[in-house]
Amino acid sequence: MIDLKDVVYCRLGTRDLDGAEWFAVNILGLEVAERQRGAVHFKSDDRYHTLCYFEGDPDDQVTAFEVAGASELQAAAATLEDLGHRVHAGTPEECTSRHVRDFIRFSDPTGNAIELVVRPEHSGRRYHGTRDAGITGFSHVGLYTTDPARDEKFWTTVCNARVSDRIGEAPLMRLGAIHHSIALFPSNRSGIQHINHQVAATDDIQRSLNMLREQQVNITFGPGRHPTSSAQFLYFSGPDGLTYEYSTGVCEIHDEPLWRDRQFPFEPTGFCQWGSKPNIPAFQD
Amino acid sequence: MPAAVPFRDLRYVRIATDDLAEPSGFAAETLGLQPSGATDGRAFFRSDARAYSVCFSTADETDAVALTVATDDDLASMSERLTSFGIAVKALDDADCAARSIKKGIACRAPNGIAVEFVWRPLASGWRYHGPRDAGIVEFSSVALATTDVAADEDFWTRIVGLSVSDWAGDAVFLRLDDAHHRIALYPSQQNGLLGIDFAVEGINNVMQNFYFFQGQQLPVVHGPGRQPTSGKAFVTTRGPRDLLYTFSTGMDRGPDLDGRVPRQFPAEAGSHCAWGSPTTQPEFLGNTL
Repeated sequence: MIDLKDVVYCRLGTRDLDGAEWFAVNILGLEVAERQRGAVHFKSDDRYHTLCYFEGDPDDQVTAFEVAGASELQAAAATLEDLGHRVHAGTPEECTSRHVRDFIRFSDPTGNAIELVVRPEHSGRRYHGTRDAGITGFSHVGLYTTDPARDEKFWTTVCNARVSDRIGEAPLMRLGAIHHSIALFPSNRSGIQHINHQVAATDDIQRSLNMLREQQVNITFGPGRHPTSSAQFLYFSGPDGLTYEYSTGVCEIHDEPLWRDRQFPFEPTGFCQWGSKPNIPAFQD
Repeated sequence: MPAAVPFRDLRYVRIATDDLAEPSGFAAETLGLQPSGATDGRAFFRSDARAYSVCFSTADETDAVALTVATDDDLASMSERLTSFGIAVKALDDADCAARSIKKGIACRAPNGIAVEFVWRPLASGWRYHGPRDAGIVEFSSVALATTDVAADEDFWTRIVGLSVSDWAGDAVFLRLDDAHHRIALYPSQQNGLLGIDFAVEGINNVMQNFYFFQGQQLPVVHGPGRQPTSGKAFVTTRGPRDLLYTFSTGMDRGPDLDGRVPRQFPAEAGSHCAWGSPTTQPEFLGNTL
């Protein structure tokens, strides 16, 4: 079993790095942690970075998870190779650019690029964005899946993810106490479906709604409240068509042995208990 | 001159109307108020334990708001006090009282023309409120009054009637009579009279569900979803018959902390009426000096 501790960062290719940086800073509300040649790292919490945009193919998207240490990373590589996954060991240069001690990269059964990292850097400096979006941190990622049953099995049996709830065939899976750190949404493609940042309070969701509208950002879903995680949410479009989400109030599961995953319908009532309707293909039949 | 008396609650609002059908349909189906009878050109609606909190009337009456007093003596004191300020006071006769479901009451006019009724022993219901749709209403919360002379109305409600100012937003005044931040709000306006009615709902879920309900019904969302920086309440407002504003809100500040606190002055701008920046074209909520 590969024991994933938490989701730590996403890496997104873009053909317009300046535009992506402008969006991340001025709309999303992240802080530039570091500019490298052809890449910009963004900070959203106490970690050194939780998002990286780099010059490249927008289909080149990576999600990274932390594992406990060097021996766990070696064991994970062996497990994945036994299962027939091709595993790339991070080079020293790649490790340096990611601000991690070590990492491996592989693809999940759908083809989503995943990195497992050891000792990702934190920083003593707290996050302070240029706009007060109220962000408290990068929290979860939605991935596309071409076969939700197969991929759920991979994430829950090869890795340590546990299903908290399902919306239709889409599993919402936790790694720790937080209701979900990974969600899988059926599609005919691979890649990152959405990236979530938590915000402090309802006020932050609602103020951002009006700010995003004024900036003519495409609001795709919400404001609403998920009946699954109880989080209030807002989804909107970012660079290269990627969906971003703000949410607040996600529930935690502490009575682990007692929790029973619940089944919600794959229709608007399964996604929102306030009555908003998604304009997001992955959330629609 | 007798001192101002304590008030128990903001009791009811009466709304003059040409016909009962349209506002009654709106009250029940859109707002989720519970019909509780119609007699002699008046239709009554419940929102809580009161026998009614909203009355639509075709009986050639002006719009009215009512405050409850504790005792018969308070009613006499209030009558004497108002008279001493030169305000005409009318004692409500038996028929008036029966029509209002009160034991006894007096009536006068505020400077903006609205009737202000002071009532004793208003009728409660032994049956709990159960609206025709689940709007989440828990209480008749407050009324908003429009005035072309906000100074005169503020003087009437504070110095004469005896309510306390909780906050100002520009020249808009939030007036307290119990432990809630406000039960009456005065808005500088180009019109006089009743501006809107606010019902408290259980929580933010109900505010947002009502927002999507309004959208689904193609009703105008006049203001919100938003949050008042003054009272702290989250709200959403639509427009009903006679262009009155109807609000669902939750989380208004209340409690003993408000007593003795210095009323705060917020700037005369839209941001003082919504901390979330929700757009509105309603002039009273833009904060402009009118």
